[in-house]
Amino acid sequence: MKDEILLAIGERVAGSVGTGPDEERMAAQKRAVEALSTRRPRWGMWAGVAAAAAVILLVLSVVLVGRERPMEFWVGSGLVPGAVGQWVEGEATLRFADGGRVELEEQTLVRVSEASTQGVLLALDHGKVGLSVPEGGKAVWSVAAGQYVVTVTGTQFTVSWDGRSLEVEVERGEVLVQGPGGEGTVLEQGGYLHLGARPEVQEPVEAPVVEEIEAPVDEAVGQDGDHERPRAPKPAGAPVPEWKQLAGEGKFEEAVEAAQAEGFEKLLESLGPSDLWELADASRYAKEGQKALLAYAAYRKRFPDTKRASTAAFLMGRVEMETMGRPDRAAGWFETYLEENPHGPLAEEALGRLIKAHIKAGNDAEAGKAAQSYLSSYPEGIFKELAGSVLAR
Amino acid sequence: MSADPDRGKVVDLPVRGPADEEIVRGLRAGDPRASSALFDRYGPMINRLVWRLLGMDSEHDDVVHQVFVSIFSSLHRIDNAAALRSWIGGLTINTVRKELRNRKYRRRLSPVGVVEGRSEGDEELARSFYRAVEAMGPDERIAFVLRYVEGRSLAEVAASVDCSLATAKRRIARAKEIFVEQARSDAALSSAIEDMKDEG
Repeated sequence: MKDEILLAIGERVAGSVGTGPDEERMAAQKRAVEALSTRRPRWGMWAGVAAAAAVILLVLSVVLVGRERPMEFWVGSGLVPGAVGQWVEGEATLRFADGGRVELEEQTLVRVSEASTQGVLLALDHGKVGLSVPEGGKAVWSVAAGQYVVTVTGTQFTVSWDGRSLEVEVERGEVLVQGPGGEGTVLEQGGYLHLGARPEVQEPVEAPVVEEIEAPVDEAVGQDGDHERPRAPKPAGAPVPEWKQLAGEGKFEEAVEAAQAEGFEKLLESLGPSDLWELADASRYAKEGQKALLAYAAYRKRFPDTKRASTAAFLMGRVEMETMGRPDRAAGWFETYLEENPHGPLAEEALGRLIKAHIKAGNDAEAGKAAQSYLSSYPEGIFKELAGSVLAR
Repeated sequence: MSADPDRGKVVDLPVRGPADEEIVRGLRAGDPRASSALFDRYGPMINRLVWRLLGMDSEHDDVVHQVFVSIFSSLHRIDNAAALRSWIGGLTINTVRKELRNRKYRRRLSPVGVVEGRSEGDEELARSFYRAVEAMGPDERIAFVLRYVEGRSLAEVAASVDCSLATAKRRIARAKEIFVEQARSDAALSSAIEDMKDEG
């Protein structure tokens, strides 16, 4: 249908429906907005899973209410009192009254936008900061860098921003990284995330050991040389597919749309291991659970003898649990990972998440078995409280 | 990471310019006059977008309120007050998108009405139009309404929803397919399309 026809219909509809409600409703809206703005601000709203200090949730809208008190902080070893709103430059350490610490690397510019007993907000103009946030504290700490926000309680991590790309690395605990659209990725202990200008998107999940990067393979030969038909090598300078470019820019939903337009199922059959993994990750980050499952399953089927094949099982468990809401299936995938890789870098986390999946699915007996197994293997692990609480019932 | 704690220094940055900057500053300081100014300046734009994207919906005022909640809670993200208008526009569209996604499992018709003085035919067309767009996914619907009801160019649609031009084109193309399909079984839409063809 011609655009002119649709534009003409649209114009007629626009004229018919007008531009908004009547004056009385607008006045009522305005009063509500004025009332909204005079409420005292509150940080929040957090819902945490109690068992481990490392588990957090972030709600997008952060409205400050309640009786928060300003939190003092100091700059440098001379303990110069800091002031909210002032910029701090260079190598420096900020120390906060609740025990929190922010370390600025050279050529870093940061501002403390908010500092109260409810929370601390840092605006990172450029450079790299390392945060050490006290566990068990009530304050919610956030770092705003460009269009991203990194939020955390009780953890240790670094954030780097150069105006185009964001890097986050978590040493302890968990953080939530949100993009401009509000979509978030939870980054766990040992995790690393890069978003923005560079094309590669690092896998953030493996913890505590950094995932061993598989040696690049000639895609004409196939992974490990024995599972794929030889394919013609890509010509030098071949254009980057649109979905891959979008994924590299962190625009995961658009990347999946572009892949869909190209033929998602066709890509699952034709992509090499790195690209297939990237597509699966993009689908997961875009919360396209079904597509993520298909992509990881395709990876396992086509490249079964690779390290990432069992990692795919773990990630399918997470997708089933967090996106699809199917804890029974999630439990199955965590068990699969543990069978295939009982001593792998994700084994502890898989077992901890297996406990959670069984709890959610109402499988108390299975949860108990998993909890016992966890405590015998990881008596001081991050899920020990959860496992202990299951066994105490 | 190493740091020399003796080398930190406090610096001042130049204050940025115009009227939107004053609104932002006032909002951050909790000045009630700033929230009134914000509503006066951007309330009509927000209302218009929500109104046309949702189709004079019964939950319109709640959605508009949610936009302002998001504005107040995201003030720390504004690092360029000169871009306040486009930032608020994007936030409004995102809020509508989330609302539409949340409605995925409770699909219903919007109670579309028309402004006074329009004909019964106009009312029927508007009703049919929004019935047709209900069949679209949130991304397609938003792109379609921005393009054909708001009259934005493809580039403007892409900028409004913060996607690439190719993605915007794809979404509009899918939306058009759905619209044409819906129009086949809708008398008001079919009639309007035929009228436009005759006039063209």
